[in-house]
Amino acid sequence: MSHGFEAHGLGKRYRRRRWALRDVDLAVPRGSITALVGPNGAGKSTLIKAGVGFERPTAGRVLVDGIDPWRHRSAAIAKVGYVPQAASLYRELSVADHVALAASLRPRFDAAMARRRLEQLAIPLDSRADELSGGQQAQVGLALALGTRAPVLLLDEPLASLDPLARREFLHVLVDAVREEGSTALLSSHVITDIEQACDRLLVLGGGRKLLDLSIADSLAAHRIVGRAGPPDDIVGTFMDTGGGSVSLVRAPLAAIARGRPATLEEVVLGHLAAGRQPVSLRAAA
Amino acid sequence: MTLAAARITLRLHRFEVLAFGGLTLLGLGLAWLVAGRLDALGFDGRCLAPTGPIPASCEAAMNAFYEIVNSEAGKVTPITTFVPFLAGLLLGVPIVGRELERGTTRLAWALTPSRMTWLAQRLVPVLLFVAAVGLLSGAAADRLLASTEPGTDPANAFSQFGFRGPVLAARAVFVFGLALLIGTVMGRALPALIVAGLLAVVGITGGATVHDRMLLAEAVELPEFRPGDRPIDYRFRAPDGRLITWDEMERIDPPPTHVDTSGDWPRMPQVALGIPGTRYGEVQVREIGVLAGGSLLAIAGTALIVQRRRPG
Repeated sequence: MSHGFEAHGLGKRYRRRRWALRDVDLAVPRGSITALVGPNGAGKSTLIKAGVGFERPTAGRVLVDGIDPWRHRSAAIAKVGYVPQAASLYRELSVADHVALAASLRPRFDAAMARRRLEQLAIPLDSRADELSGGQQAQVGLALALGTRAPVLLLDEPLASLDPLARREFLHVLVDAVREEGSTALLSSHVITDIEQACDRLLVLGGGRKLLDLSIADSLAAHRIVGRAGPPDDIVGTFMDTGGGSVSLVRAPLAAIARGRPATLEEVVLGHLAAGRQPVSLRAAA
Repeated sequence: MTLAAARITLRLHRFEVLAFGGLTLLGLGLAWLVAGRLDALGFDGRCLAPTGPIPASCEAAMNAFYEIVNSEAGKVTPITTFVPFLAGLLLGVPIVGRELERGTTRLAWALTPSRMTWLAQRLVPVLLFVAAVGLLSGAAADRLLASTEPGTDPANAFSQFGFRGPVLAARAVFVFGLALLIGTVMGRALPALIVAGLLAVVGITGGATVHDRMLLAEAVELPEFRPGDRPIDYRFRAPDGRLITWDEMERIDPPPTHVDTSGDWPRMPQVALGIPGTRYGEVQVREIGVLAGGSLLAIAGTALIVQRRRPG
Protein backbone atom coordinates (compact mmCIF):
# COMPACT_ATOMS: atom_id res chain seq x y z
CA MET A 1 0.00 0.00 0.00
CA SER A 2 1.63 3.24 -1.09
CA HIS A 3 -0.82 5.96 -0.08
CA GLY A 4 -1.51 7.47 3.32
CA PHE A 5 -4.73 9.18 2.25
CA GLU A 6 -6.95 8.40 -0.72
CA ALA A 7 -10.30 9.54 -2.08
CA HIS A 8 -12.17 7.62 -4.76
CA GLY A 9 -15.11 9.31 -6.49
CA LEU A 10 -15.70 11.20 -3.27
CA GLY A 11 -18.82 13.35 -3.08
CA LYS A 12 -20.48 15.10 -0.19
CA ARG A 13 -23.79 16.89 -0.46
CA TYR A 14 -25.30 18.80 2.43
CA ARG A 15 -29.04 18.76 3.02
CA ARG A 16 -29.78 17.50 -0.49
CA ARG A 17 -28.68 20.76 -2.09
CA ARG A 18 -25.11 21.98 -2.33
CA TRP A 19 -22.28 19.63 -3.20
CA ALA A 20 -19.31 20.41 -0.96
CA LEU A 21 -17.23 17.80 -2.76
CA ARG A 22 -17.89 16.11 -6.09
CA ASP A 23 -16.09 13.31 -7.91
CA VAL A 24 -12.85 13.83 -6.07
CA ASP A 25 -10.14 11.29 -6.79
CA LEU A 26 -6.80 11.75 -5.12
CA ALA A 27 -3.95 9.88 -3.52
CA VAL A 28 -1.51 11.37 -1.05
CA PRO A 29 1.78 9.41 -1.10
CA ARG A 30 3.14 8.10 2.17
CA GLY A 31 5.76 10.27 3.80
CA SER A 32 4.67 13.42 1.96
CA ILE A 33 3.40 16.73 3.30
CA THR A 34 0.60 17.82 1.02
CA ALA A 35 -0.84 21.30 1.04
CA LEU A 36 -4.59 21.37 0.52
CA VAL A 37 -5.42 24.78 -0.91
CA GLY A 38 -8.62 26.42 -2.03
CA PRO A 39 -10.98 29.29 -1.29
CA ASN A 40 -13.63 29.21 1.42
CA GLY A 41 -16.26 26.62 0.57
CA ALA A 42 -13.91 24.68 -1.69
CA GLY A 43 -14.44 21.53 0.37
CA LYS A 44 -11.09 21.40 2.20
CA SER A 45 -12.55 20.96 5.67
CA THR A 46 -15.13 18.49 4.39
CA LEU A 47 -12.39 16.38 2.83
CA ILE A 48 -10.34 16.36 6.03
CA LYS A 49 -13.37 15.69 8.23
CA ALA A 50 -14.29 12.77 5.99
CA GLY A 51 -10.80 11.45 6.73
CA VAL A 52 -11.47 11.53 10.49
CA GLY A 53 -14.89 9.93 10.08
CA PHE A 54 -16.70 13.13 11.04
CA GLU A 55 -18.49 13.38 7.67
CA ARG A 56 -20.28 10.58 5.86
CA PRO A 57 -19.55 10.64 2.12
CA THR A 58 -22.63 10.95 -0.08
CA ALA A 59 -20.73 9.19 -2.86
CA GLY A 60 -17.44 7.34 -3.13
CA ARG A 61 -15.13 6.81 -0.20
CA VAL A 62 -12.06 7.96 1.66
CA LEU A 63 -9.27 5.68 2.82
CA VAL A 64 -6.86 6.56 5.59
CA ASP A 65 -3.87 4.26 5.58
CA GLY A 66 -6.10 1.88 3.63
CA ILE A 67 -9.02 2.05 6.08
CA ASP A 68 -12.44 3.56 5.41
CA PRO A 69 -13.09 5.89 8.39
CA TRP A 70 -16.86 5.85 8.01
CA ARG A 71 -17.14 2.07 8.00
CA HIS A 72 -14.32 1.33 10.44
CA ARG A 73 -14.06 4.45 12.52
CA SER A 74 -12.16 2.99 15.46
CA ALA A 75 -9.48 1.47 13.26
CA ALA A 76 -9.20 4.61 11.15
CA ILE A 77 -9.01 6.98 14.12
CA ALA A 78 -6.12 4.89 15.43
CA LYS A 79 -4.27 5.82 12.24
CA VAL A 80 -5.01 9.55 12.36
CA GLY A 81 -3.65 12.53 14.23
CA TYR A 82 -6.04 15.44 13.71
CA VAL A 83 -5.62 19.14 14.31
CA PRO A 84 -8.98 20.91 14.02
CA GLN A 85 -9.57 24.36 12.50
CA ALA A 86 -9.83 26.08 15.87
CA ALA A 87 -7.58 24.55 18.50
CA SER A 88 -10.72 23.19 20.27
CA LEU A 89 -8.99 22.99 23.63
CA TYR A 90 -10.83 22.74 26.95
CA ARG A 91 -10.48 26.22 28.40
CA GLU A 92 -10.89 24.97 31.98
CA LEU A 93 -7.97 22.54 31.67
CA SER A 94 -4.25 23.09 31.85
CA VAL A 95 -1.87 22.02 29.11
CA ALA A 96 -0.75 19.10 31.29
CA ASP A 97 -4.41 18.10 31.74
CA HIS A 98 -4.79 18.01 27.96
CA VAL A 99 -1.85 15.64 27.68
CA ALA A 100 -3.33 13.47 30.46
CA LEU A 101 -6.72 13.58 28.72
CA ALA A 102 -5.22 12.44 25.44
CA ALA A 103 -3.39 9.64 27.25
CA SER A 104 -6.63 8.49 28.86
CA LEU A 105 -8.52 8.52 25.56
CA ARG A 106 -5.89 7.16 23.20
CA PRO A 107 -4.19 3.82 23.74
CA ARG A 108 -0.40 4.10 23.28
CA PHE A 109 -0.49 7.91 23.32
CA ASP A 110 3.08 9.12 23.78
CA ALA A 111 2.53 11.60 26.62
CA ALA A 112 6.26 11.99 27.25
CA MET A 113 6.86 13.04 23.65
CA ALA A 114 3.97 15.50 23.71
CA ARG A 115 5.24 17.05 26.95
CA ARG A 116 8.78 17.22 25.59
CA ARG A 117 7.65 19.02 22.45
CA LEU A 118 5.63 21.52 24.49
CA GLU A 119 8.55 22.15 26.84
CA GLN A 120 10.84 22.71 23.86
CA LEU A 121 8.43 25.42 22.73
CA ALA A 122 8.45 26.94 26.24
CA ILE A 123 4.71 26.39 26.61
CA PRO A 124 4.00 26.22 30.36
CA LEU A 125 2.33 22.90 31.16
CA ASP A 126 0.49 24.34 34.15
CA SER A 127 -1.15 27.15 32.17
CA ARG A 128 -4.84 26.93 31.44
CA ALA A 129 -5.72 26.70 27.76
CA ASP A 130 -7.52 30.04 27.82
CA GLU A 131 -4.36 31.73 29.07
CA LEU A 132 -2.37 30.68 25.99
CA SER A 133 -1.91 32.73 22.82
CA GLY A 134 -3.46 31.51 19.59
CA GLY A 135 -0.08 30.26 18.43
CA GLN A 136 0.49 28.35 21.66
CA GLN A 137 -2.97 26.80 21.47
CA ALA A 138 -2.25 25.64 17.93
CA GLN A 139 1.05 24.17 19.11
CA VAL A 140 -0.77 22.28 21.89
CA GLY A 141 -3.19 20.91 19.29
CA LEU A 142 -0.24 19.84 17.14
CA ALA A 143 1.61 18.28 20.08
CA LEU A 144 -1.49 16.22 20.92
CA ALA A 145 -1.81 15.08 17.30
CA LEU A 146 1.88 14.19 17.15
CA GLY A 147 1.66 12.39 20.50
CA THR A 148 -0.68 9.88 18.88
CA ARG A 149 2.28 8.77 16.71
CA ALA A 150 -0.32 8.23 14.00
CA PRO A 151 0.94 7.47 10.49
CA VAL A 152 -1.41 10.07 8.99
CA LEU A 153 -1.76 13.68 10.16
CA LEU A 154 -4.77 15.68 9.02
CA LEU A 155 -4.52 19.39 9.76
CA ASP A 156 -7.57 21.54 9.08
CA GLU A 157 -6.38 25.13 8.60
CA PRO A 158 -4.39 25.27 11.82
CA LEU A 159 -2.54 28.37 10.58
CA ALA A 160 -5.65 30.47 9.96
CA SER A 161 -5.52 32.61 13.07
CA LEU A 162 -1.77 32.68 13.62
CA ASP A 163 0.66 35.56 13.09
CA PRO A 164 3.52 34.99 10.59
CA LEU A 165 6.04 34.07 13.27
CA ALA A 166 3.68 31.56 14.91
CA ARG A 167 2.85 30.11 11.49
CA ARG A 168 6.51 29.64 10.70
CA GLU A 169 7.15 28.02 14.07
CA PHE A 170 4.15 25.71 13.69
CA LEU A 171 5.26 24.56 10.25
CA HIS A 172 8.83 24.06 11.45
CA VAL A 173 7.61 21.72 14.22
CA LEU A 174 5.31 19.92 11.79
CA VAL A 175 7.98 19.35 9.15
CA ASP A 176 10.52 18.15 11.73
CA ALA A 177 8.04 15.73 13.25
CA VAL A 178 6.82 14.35 9.93
CA ARG A 179 10.36 13.81 8.66
CA GLU A 180 11.35 12.19 11.96
CA GLU A 181 8.35 9.85 12.13
CA GLY A 182 7.98 9.24 8.40
CA SER A 183 4.28 10.04 8.61
CA THR A 184 1.99 11.48 5.95
CA ALA A 185 0.48 14.93 6.41
CA LEU A 186 -2.39 16.68 4.68
CA LEU A 187 -2.43 20.36 5.63
CA SER A 188 -5.20 22.66 4.50
CA SER A 189 -4.35 26.33 4.40
CA HIS A 190 -5.02 29.68 2.78
CA VAL A 191 -1.46 30.89 3.31
CA ILE A 192 0.41 29.82 0.21
CA THR A 193 3.73 31.53 0.89
CA ASP A 194 4.25 29.57 4.12
CA ILE A 195 3.29 26.17 2.82
CA GLU A 196 5.61 26.49 -0.16
CA GLN A 197 8.54 25.92 2.16
CA ALA A 198 6.93 23.22 4.26
CA CYS A 199 5.05 21.05 1.77
CA ASP A 200 6.20 18.86 -1.05
CA ARG A 201 2.85 18.42 -2.79
CA LEU A 202 0.04 20.76 -3.79
CA LEU A 203 -3.61 19.81 -3.98
CA VAL A 204 -5.96 22.56 -5.15
CA LEU A 205 -9.71 22.27 -4.59
CA GLY A 206 -12.28 24.66 -6.03
CA GLY A 207 -16.04 24.42 -6.02
CA GLY A 208 -15.81 21.00 -4.46
CA ARG A 209 -13.67 19.58 -7.27
CA LYS A 210 -10.02 18.74 -7.56
CA LEU A 211 -8.29 21.32 -9.75
CA LEU A 212 -4.65 20.36 -9.35
CA ASP A 213 -2.70 17.53 -7.71
CA LEU A 214 1.06 17.67 -8.29
CA SER A 215 4.31 17.90 -6.41
CA ILE A 216 5.33 21.48 -5.63
CA ALA A 217 8.28 21.17 -8.00
CA ASP A 218 6.11 19.85 -10.83
CA SER A 219 3.49 22.52 -10.18
CA LEU A 220 6.08 25.25 -10.65
CA ALA A 221 7.73 23.58 -13.61
CA ALA A 222 4.47 22.92 -15.43
CA HIS A 223 3.16 26.47 -15.45
CA ARG A 224 4.25 29.91 -16.68
CA ILE A 225 2.83 33.39 -16.52
CA VAL A 226 2.21 35.36 -19.69
CA GLY A 227 1.02 38.93 -20.05
CA ARG A 228 -1.02 38.23 -23.15
CA ALA A 229 -3.14 35.25 -23.73
CA GLY A 230 -1.63 32.66 -26.00
CA PRO A 231 -3.64 29.97 -27.70
CA PRO A 232 -6.83 29.53 -25.64
CA ASP A 233 -6.23 25.85 -25.00
CA ASP A 234 -2.97 26.71 -23.17
CA ILE A 235 -4.60 29.04 -20.67
CA VAL A 236 -5.41 27.67 -17.26
CA GLY A 237 -6.82 30.93 -15.88
CA THR A 238 -6.53 34.67 -16.05
CA PHE A 239 -6.35 36.94 -13.04
CA MET A 240 -5.27 40.41 -12.02
CA ASP A 241 -1.77 40.87 -10.66
CA THR A 242 -0.89 43.24 -7.86
CA GLY A 243 -0.40 46.10 -10.32
CA GLY A 244 -3.95 45.76 -11.58
CA GLY A 245 -2.89 44.25 -14.92
CA SER A 246 -4.25 41.03 -16.27
CA VAL A 247 -2.00 37.98 -16.47
CA SER A 248 -2.62 34.41 -17.51
CA LEU A 249 -1.33 31.16 -16.14
CA VAL A 250 -0.48 28.82 -19.00
CA ARG A 251 0.56 25.21 -19.09
CA ALA A 252 4.18 24.94 -20.02
CA PRO A 253 5.08 21.94 -22.08
CA LEU A 254 8.78 21.66 -22.71
CA ALA A 255 8.47 23.20 -26.16
CA ALA A 256 6.97 26.39 -24.78
CA ILE A 257 9.24 26.76 -21.78
CA ALA A 258 10.75 30.00 -22.98
CA ARG A 259 7.34 31.73 -23.16
CA GLY A 260 6.49 34.21 -20.38
CA ARG A 261 8.11 33.97 -16.96
CA PRO A 262 8.13 31.23 -14.30
CA ALA A 263 5.01 31.18 -12.13
CA THR A 264 5.12 31.44 -8.36
CA LEU A 265 3.19 28.87 -6.35
CA GLU A 266 0.65 31.53 -5.48
CA GLU A 267 0.12 32.27 -9.18
CA VAL A 268 -0.27 28.58 -9.95
CA VAL A 269 -2.99 28.36 -7.31
CA LEU A 270 -4.68 31.58 -8.44
CA GLY A 271 -4.60 30.56 -12.07
CA HIS A 272 -6.33 27.29 -11.31
CA LEU A 273 -8.86 28.91 -9.00
CA ALA A 274 -9.58 31.59 -11.62
CA ALA A 275 -10.35 29.00 -14.25
CA GLY A 276 -13.95 29.50 -15.20
CA ARG A 277 -14.35 32.43 -12.83
CA GLN A 278 -14.05 36.21 -13.08
CA PRO A 279 -10.47 37.55 -12.84
CA VAL A 280 -9.19 37.47 -9.28
CA SER A 281 -6.91 40.10 -7.80
CA LEU A 282 -3.71 38.71 -6.36
CA ARG A 283 -3.90 41.19 -3.51
CA ALA A 284 -7.48 40.38 -2.67
CA ALA A 285 -6.92 36.65 -2.84
CA ALA A 286 -3.82 36.77 -0.67
CA MET B 1 -11.72 4.41 33.50
CA THR B 2 -8.73 5.80 35.34
CA LEU B 3 -8.68 8.15 38.31
CA ALA B 4 -6.87 10.68 36.13
CA ALA B 5 -9.77 10.69 33.67
CA ALA B 6 -12.28 11.12 36.51
CA ARG B 7 -10.23 13.99 37.93
CA ILE B 8 -10.15 15.73 34.55
CA THR B 9 -13.91 15.33 34.14
CA LEU B 10 -14.63 16.77 37.58
CA ARG B 11 -12.25 19.62 36.80
CA LEU B 12 -14.31 20.40 33.69
CA HIS B 13 -17.30 20.88 36.01
CA ARG B 14 -15.37 22.34 38.92
CA PHE B 15 -17.73 25.24 39.62
CA GLU B 16 -20.88 23.13 39.57
CA VAL B 17 -19.28 20.36 41.63
CA LEU B 18 -18.05 22.79 44.28
CA ALA B 19 -21.34 24.71 44.35
CA PHE B 20 -23.61 21.66 44.60
CA GLY B 21 -21.21 19.80 46.89
CA GLY B 22 -21.18 22.80 49.22
CA LEU B 23 -24.96 23.25 49.13
CA THR B 24 -25.50 19.55 49.81
CA LEU B 25 -23.21 19.58 52.82
CA LEU B 26 -24.88 22.79 54.00
CA GLY B 27 -28.32 21.15 53.72
CA LEU B 28 -27.07 18.05 55.50
CA GLY B 29 -25.50 20.03 58.33
CA LEU B 30 -28.51 22.30 58.78
CA ALA B 31 -30.91 19.35 58.72
CA TRP B 32 -29.02 17.62 61.52
CA LEU B 33 -28.73 20.87 63.46
CA VAL B 34 -32.45 21.70 63.21
CA ALA B 35 -33.46 18.10 63.89
CA GLY B 36 -31.24 18.09 66.97
CA ARG B 37 -32.87 21.28 68.27
CA LEU B 38 -36.33 19.81 67.70
CA ASP B 39 -35.44 16.57 69.46
CA ALA B 40 -34.07 18.50 72.42
CA LEU B 41 -37.48 20.09 73.03
CA GLY B 42 -38.97 16.78 74.14
CA PHE B 43 -42.14 17.41 72.14
CA ASP B 44 -42.91 13.78 71.52
CA GLY B 45 -45.54 11.10 72.01
CA ARG B 46 -46.22 12.10 75.61
CA CYS B 47 -47.39 15.53 74.45
CA LEU B 48 -49.09 14.36 71.25
CA ALA B 49 -51.26 11.74 72.90
CA PRO B 50 -51.63 12.75 76.54
CA THR B 51 -53.56 10.43 78.75
CA GLY B 52 -54.62 13.20 81.10
CA PRO B 53 -54.54 16.97 81.01
CA ILE B 54 -51.85 18.49 78.79
CA PRO B 55 -48.85 19.31 80.97
CA ALA B 56 -47.69 22.95 80.90
CA SER B 57 -44.26 21.81 79.75
CA CYS B 58 -45.87 20.31 76.63
CA GLU B 59 -47.57 23.56 75.71
CA ALA B 60 -44.30 25.45 75.93
CA ALA B 61 -42.55 22.69 74.00
CA MET B 62 -45.27 22.72 71.34
CA ASN B 63 -44.95 26.46 70.79
CA ALA B 64 -41.17 26.20 70.50
CA PHE B 65 -41.51 23.11 68.28
CA TYR B 66 -43.77 24.76 65.70
CA GLU B 67 -41.71 27.92 65.82
CA ILE B 68 -38.63 25.92 64.77
CA VAL B 69 -40.57 23.80 62.26
CA ASN B 70 -41.98 26.86 60.54
CA SER B 71 -38.99 29.13 60.62
CA GLU B 72 -35.92 26.88 60.53
CA ALA B 73 -36.99 23.54 59.06
CA GLY B 74 -38.99 25.44 56.47
CA LYS B 75 -35.76 27.00 55.22
CA VAL B 76 -33.77 23.76 55.13
CA THR B 77 -36.37 21.75 53.20
CA PRO B 78 -36.01 23.75 49.94
CA ILE B 79 -32.25 23.08 50.01
CA THR B 80 -32.63 19.33 50.40
CA THR B 81 -35.47 19.26 47.87
CA PHE B 82 -34.18 21.41 45.02
CA VAL B 83 -30.38 21.00 45.12
CA PRO B 84 -30.47 17.41 43.75
CA PHE B 85 -32.80 18.41 40.90
CA LEU B 86 -30.71 21.44 39.98
CA ALA B 87 -27.52 19.37 40.21
CA GLY B 88 -28.99 16.80 37.82
CA LEU B 89 -30.10 19.49 35.40
CA LEU B 90 -27.05 21.74 35.46
CA LEU B 91 -24.55 18.88 35.38
CA GLY B 92 -26.42 16.76 32.84
CA VAL B 93 -26.81 19.29 30.05
CA PRO B 94 -23.16 20.35 29.63
CA ILE B 95 -21.61 16.88 29.60
CA VAL B 96 -22.14 16.50 25.86
CA GLY B 97 -24.11 19.67 24.98
CA ARG B 98 -21.44 22.14 26.06
CA GLU B 99 -18.68 20.14 24.41
CA LEU B 100 -20.58 20.15 21.13
CA GLU B 101 -21.23 23.86 21.49
CA ARG B 102 -17.59 24.72 22.20
CA GLY B 103 -16.22 22.30 19.62
CA THR B 104 -14.08 20.35 22.08
CA THR B 105 -15.64 17.14 20.76
CA ARG B 106 -13.58 17.69 17.58
CA LEU B 107 -10.42 17.25 19.60
CA ALA B 108 -11.68 14.48 21.88
CA TRP B 109 -13.46 12.38 19.25
CA ALA B 110 -10.45 12.53 16.95
CA LEU B 111 -8.22 11.31 19.77
CA THR B 112 -10.30 8.37 20.91
CA PRO B 113 -10.91 5.26 18.84
CA SER B 114 -14.03 4.71 20.97
CA ARG B 115 -16.52 7.49 21.58
CA MET B 116 -18.07 5.26 24.23
CA THR B 117 -14.83 5.44 26.20
CA TRP B 118 -15.04 9.22 25.99
CA LEU B 119 -18.70 9.24 27.04
CA ALA B 120 -18.03 6.89 29.96
CA GLN B 121 -15.17 9.09 31.15
CA ARG B 122 -17.40 12.14 31.02
CA LEU B 123 -20.53 10.51 32.35
CA VAL B 124 -19.63 8.18 35.20
CA PRO B 125 -17.88 10.58 37.63
CA VAL B 126 -20.63 13.19 37.26
CA LEU B 127 -23.39 10.60 37.52
CA LEU B 128 -21.87 9.30 40.75
CA PHE B 129 -21.60 12.83 42.07
CA VAL B 130 -25.26 13.59 41.28
CA ALA B 131 -26.30 10.30 42.91
CA ALA B 132 -24.26 11.18 45.99
CA VAL B 133 -25.86 14.65 46.14
CA GLY B 134 -29.28 12.99 45.91
CA LEU B 135 -28.54 10.37 48.56
CA LEU B 136 -27.10 12.87 51.04
CA SER B 137 -29.97 15.29 50.47
CA GLY B 138 -32.42 12.41 50.80
CA ALA B 139 -30.81 11.35 54.08
CA ALA B 140 -30.98 14.94 55.34
CA ALA B 141 -34.68 15.13 54.43
CA ASP B 142 -35.31 11.80 56.20
CA ARG B 143 -33.58 13.06 59.33
CA LEU B 144 -35.62 16.25 59.28
CA LEU B 145 -38.86 14.34 58.78
CA ALA B 146 -38.17 12.11 61.76
CA SER B 147 -38.00 15.21 63.95
CA THR B 148 -40.68 17.41 62.35
CA GLU B 149 -43.27 14.61 62.46
CA PRO B 150 -42.75 12.96 65.83
CA GLY B 151 -44.11 9.43 65.92
CA THR B 152 -43.50 8.92 62.21
CA ASP B 153 -41.03 6.26 61.16
CA PRO B 154 -39.45 7.53 57.90
CA ALA B 155 -38.86 3.92 56.78
CA ASN B 156 -42.59 3.18 57.01
CA ALA B 157 -44.21 6.45 56.01
CA PHE B 158 -45.36 8.03 52.77
CA SER B 159 -44.88 11.56 54.09
CA GLN B 160 -43.03 13.73 51.53
CA PHE B 161 -42.82 10.79 49.13
CA GLY B 162 -40.32 11.50 46.37
CA PHE B 163 -38.65 14.35 48.19
CA ARG B 164 -36.60 12.33 50.65
CA GLY B 165 -34.64 9.11 50.94
CA PRO B 166 -33.26 7.16 47.97
CA VAL B 167 -36.22 8.18 45.75
CA LEU B 168 -34.89 11.73 45.79
CA ALA B 169 -31.54 10.44 44.48
CA ALA B 170 -33.33 8.39 41.80
CA ARG B 171 -35.26 11.49 40.71
CA ALA B 172 -32.05 13.52 40.55
CA VAL B 173 -30.40 10.83 38.41
CA PHE B 174 -33.48 10.74 36.16
CA VAL B 175 -33.29 14.52 35.67
CA PHE B 176 -29.57 14.13 34.99
CA GLY B 177 -30.21 11.49 32.30
CA LEU B 178 -32.91 13.59 30.69
CA ALA B 179 -30.70 16.71 30.69
CA LEU B 180 -27.82 14.69 29.24
CA LEU B 181 -29.99 13.46 26.38
CA ILE B 182 -31.49 16.88 25.60
CA GLY B 183 -28.02 18.48 25.67
CA THR B 184 -26.77 15.86 23.23
CA VAL B 185 -29.71 16.28 20.87
CA MET B 186 -29.62 20.09 20.86
CA GLY B 187 -25.87 20.62 21.06
CA ARG B 188 -26.33 23.99 22.75
CA ALA B 189 -26.19 24.38 26.49
CA LEU B 190 -28.62 27.21 27.28
CA PRO B 191 -31.56 26.17 25.06
CA ALA B 192 -31.04 22.59 26.23
CA LEU B 193 -31.13 23.76 29.84
CA ILE B 194 -34.51 25.43 29.32
CA VAL B 195 -36.01 22.50 27.42
CA ALA B 196 -34.60 19.91 29.82
CA GLY B 197 -35.87 21.91 32.81
CA LEU B 198 -39.39 22.00 31.38
CA LEU B 199 -39.32 18.32 30.43
CA ALA B 200 -37.99 17.37 33.87
CA VAL B 201 -40.91 19.17 35.55
CA VAL B 202 -43.38 17.54 33.15
CA GLY B 203 -41.68 14.15 33.58
CA ILE B 204 -41.62 14.24 37.36
CA THR B 205 -45.18 15.54 37.79
CA GLY B 206 -46.48 13.26 35.03
CA GLY B 207 -44.72 10.32 36.64
CA ALA B 208 -46.21 11.22 40.01
CA THR B 209 -49.70 11.31 38.45
CA VAL B 210 -49.21 7.90 36.85
CA HIS B 211 -47.87 6.62 40.13
CA ASP B 212 -50.91 7.92 42.00
CA ARG B 213 -53.21 6.08 39.58
CA MET B 214 -51.28 2.88 40.14
CA LEU B 215 -51.59 3.36 43.87
CA LEU B 216 -55.32 3.99 43.54
CA ALA B 217 -55.67 0.52 42.06
CA GLU B 218 -53.70 -0.88 44.98
CA ALA B 219 -55.46 1.12 47.72
CA VAL B 220 -57.02 -0.83 50.54
CA GLU B 221 -59.65 0.03 53.09
CA LEU B 222 -58.08 1.56 56.17
CA PRO B 223 -60.00 1.73 59.44
CA GLU B 224 -58.21 5.00 60.17
CA PHE B 225 -55.33 6.98 58.73
CA ARG B 226 -52.24 6.66 60.86
CA PRO B 227 -49.13 8.80 60.54
CA GLY B 228 -47.26 7.55 57.49
CA ASP B 229 -50.27 6.08 55.67
CA ARG B 230 -50.93 7.43 52.20
CA PRO B 231 -54.55 8.59 51.87
CA ILE B 232 -55.75 7.97 48.34
CA ASP B 233 -59.51 8.49 48.27
CA TYR B 234 -62.81 8.04 50.06
CA ARG B 235 -65.59 5.70 48.98
CA PHE B 236 -69.01 4.71 50.28
CA ARG B 237 -70.01 1.22 51.16
CA ALA B 238 -73.19 0.35 49.27
CA PRO B 239 -75.85 -1.86 50.88
CA ASP B 240 -74.62 -4.74 48.72
CA GLY B 241 -71.10 -4.33 50.12
CA ARG B 242 -69.52 -2.70 47.05
CA LEU B 243 -67.30 0.35 47.43
CA ILE B 244 -68.76 3.15 45.33
CA THR B 245 -67.89 6.74 44.44
CA TRP B 246 -69.77 9.86 45.51
CA ASP B 247 -71.58 10.07 42.12
CA GLU B 248 -72.67 6.46 42.30
CA MET B 249 -73.84 6.99 45.87
CA GLU B 250 -75.90 10.02 44.76
CA ARG B 251 -77.58 7.96 42.06
CA ILE B 252 -78.49 5.20 44.51
CA ASP B 253 -79.37 7.51 47.36
CA PRO B 254 -80.26 11.00 46.00
CA PRO B 255 -79.69 13.94 48.37
CA PRO B 256 -82.78 15.10 50.30
CA THR B 257 -84.61 18.18 49.05
CA HIS B 258 -85.37 19.54 52.55
CA VAL B 259 -82.52 21.37 54.16
CA ASP B 260 -83.46 20.39 57.68
CA THR B 261 -83.10 16.68 56.95
CA SER B 262 -79.77 16.96 55.15
CA GLY B 263 -77.87 16.22 58.37
CA ASP B 264 -78.73 12.52 57.99
CA TRP B 265 -77.29 12.33 54.50
CA PRO B 266 -75.25 10.64 53.16
CA ARG B 267 -76.56 7.60 54.90
CA MET B 268 -74.04 5.07 53.55
CA PRO B 269 -70.91 4.61 55.68
CA GLN B 270 -67.80 6.34 54.36
CA VAL B 271 -64.65 4.27 53.90
CA ALA B 272 -61.09 5.57 53.75
CA LEU B 273 -58.85 4.11 51.04
CA GLY B 274 -55.13 4.34 51.22
CA ILE B 275 -51.79 2.61 51.24
CA PRO B 276 -50.54 1.62 54.66
CA GLY B 277 -47.20 3.12 55.58
CA THR B 278 -45.75 -0.36 55.98
CA ARG B 279 -45.75 -0.66 52.17
CA TYR B 280 -43.46 2.37 51.80
CA GLY B 281 -40.28 0.33 51.26
CA GLU B 282 -41.82 -1.76 48.51
CA VAL B 283 -43.40 1.23 46.72
CA GLN B 284 -40.14 3.12 47.05
CA VAL B 285 -38.18 0.32 45.38
CA ARG B 286 -40.68 0.22 42.51
CA GLU B 287 -40.45 3.99 42.02
CA ILE B 288 -36.64 3.81 42.04
CA GLY B 289 -36.80 1.01 39.48
CA VAL B 290 -38.99 3.04 37.12
CA LEU B 291 -36.80 6.13 37.46
CA ALA B 292 -33.62 4.08 36.99
CA GLY B 293 -35.13 2.53 33.86
CA GLY B 294 -35.93 5.99 32.49
CA SER B 295 -32.41 7.16 33.29
CA LEU B 296 -30.88 4.15 31.55
CA LEU B 297 -33.01 4.75 28.47
CA ALA B 298 -31.88 8.38 28.34
CA ILE B 299 -28.24 7.36 28.69
CA ALA B 300 -28.62 4.69 26.01
CA GLY B 301 -30.21 7.29 23.71
CA THR B 302 -27.31 9.62 24.39
CA ALA B 303 -24.80 6.90 23.57
CA LEU B 304 -26.59 6.18 20.30
CA ILE B 305 -26.52 9.84 19.28
CA VAL B 306 -22.88 10.30 20.32
CA GLN B 307 -21.94 7.34 18.12
CA ARG B 308 -23.62 8.82 15.07
CA ARG B 309 -23.53 12.59 15.22
CA ARG B 310 -20.95 15.03 13.89
CA PRO B 311 -18.84 16.86 16.42
CA GLY B 312 -19.84 20.50 16.89
